[in-house]
Amino acid sequence: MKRLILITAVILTLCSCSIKLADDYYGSKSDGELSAVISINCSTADDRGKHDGAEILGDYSVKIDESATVFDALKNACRDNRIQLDFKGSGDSVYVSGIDYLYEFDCGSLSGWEYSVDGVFPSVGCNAFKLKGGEKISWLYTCDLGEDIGNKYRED
Amino acid sequence: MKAFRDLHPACATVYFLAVLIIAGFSFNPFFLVPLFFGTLLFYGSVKGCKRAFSSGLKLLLLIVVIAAVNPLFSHNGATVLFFLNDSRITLEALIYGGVLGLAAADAVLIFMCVNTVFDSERIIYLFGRYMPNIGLVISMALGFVPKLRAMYASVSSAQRGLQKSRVKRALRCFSAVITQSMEGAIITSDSMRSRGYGTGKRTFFNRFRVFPRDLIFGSLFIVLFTLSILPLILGDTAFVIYPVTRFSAKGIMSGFGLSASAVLAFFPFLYELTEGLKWKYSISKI
Repeated sequence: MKRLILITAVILTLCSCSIKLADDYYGSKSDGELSAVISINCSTADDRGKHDGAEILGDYSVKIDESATVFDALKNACRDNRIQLDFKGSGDSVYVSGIDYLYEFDCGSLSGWEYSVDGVFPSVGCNAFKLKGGEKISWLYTCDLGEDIGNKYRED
Repeated sequence: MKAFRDLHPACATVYFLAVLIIAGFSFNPFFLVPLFFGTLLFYGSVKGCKRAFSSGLKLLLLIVVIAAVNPLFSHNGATVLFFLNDSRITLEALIYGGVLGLAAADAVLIFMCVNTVFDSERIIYLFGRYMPNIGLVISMALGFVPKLRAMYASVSSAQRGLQKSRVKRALRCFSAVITQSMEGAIITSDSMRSRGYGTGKRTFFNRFRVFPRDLIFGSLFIVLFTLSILPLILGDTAFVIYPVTRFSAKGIMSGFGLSASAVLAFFPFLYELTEGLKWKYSISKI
């Protein structure tokens, strides 16, 4: 009985995973009714010599599904442009730790990736922010907890 | 054969500290792989091939498990093997896990070798003069685990007929063992007090003499260690894993360092081997 439950659990876990080869994954372009403009920039890290080039992705119009989140838009854009993306967690608490081999803490303990939508830095996780289409998203790398990219950290 | 064991304890301490530092801080397979085989061979020459083989297999399994698990958590790296639910499983993460596992296996192996070389007499000798209390506590603590095991085995065999349920039996044995060892600790302390432990200045007897070979080997260890750690500090033997794995050895120092660490890794085994052959040869002459 115990073994049966274990085997079922393993099979269910394996079925819920989708395994794709790199060419298959990058080969399929993202698709959807809505679109948003996304850019990825790390000029702060480039200034310190931690990354080659400031602009990882210039303004790119990415196709997204209805009720997609900022994270979905980033995922699609990275897939279309073959950019490496590393994240932790799932659901509302997805955390983007690295883009294009540039990781959090690479420029000190206050560094990492933040995002803004239409110039505003939302204080929710990127997979909790729903898009309506037509927004301008920018992912920015900060070396000083947001202060150097115009998102000063407030205590409240 | 226990030739390496006959060296002066301070000499062996220098050796084990040196290899432990290399295993802990190099994070470079060119240093770690020779160390793995060197310490394993030394362990085999002391404890027998069978035990060395089985622990080597177990440690290999450990390395494989860590190497397989690391890519699930780390998605850094340029060479994508496949995508698992939008997360990349990369070759570099696999390599990183392998090196991490190798460093852990090396540390375990080194401590296994330390245990074959250092008995309680040597530990008390090393710590006794400067930190007598710490030396005694370390020596007693190291003795406790095998003692508890033996005690548990004897209690468990006595309880086997009395208690059917395995869980209940284990609980009873556990409580009996704890009681017995606590009683033992009280008796030990009483006995030590009645013999006047800690009342006066203590003298220290030991059988360890410093022979010329101890001085030679000790300084050899220090020279080899310095040679192998220098390129690591200077960054001449950089093993970069993320985002693309590459090993760059530049300068003549890195060559010296790699060969010095290999010599250091295989030294106890080779010493054991040559002394064994000498012994065999001297017998056949008689």
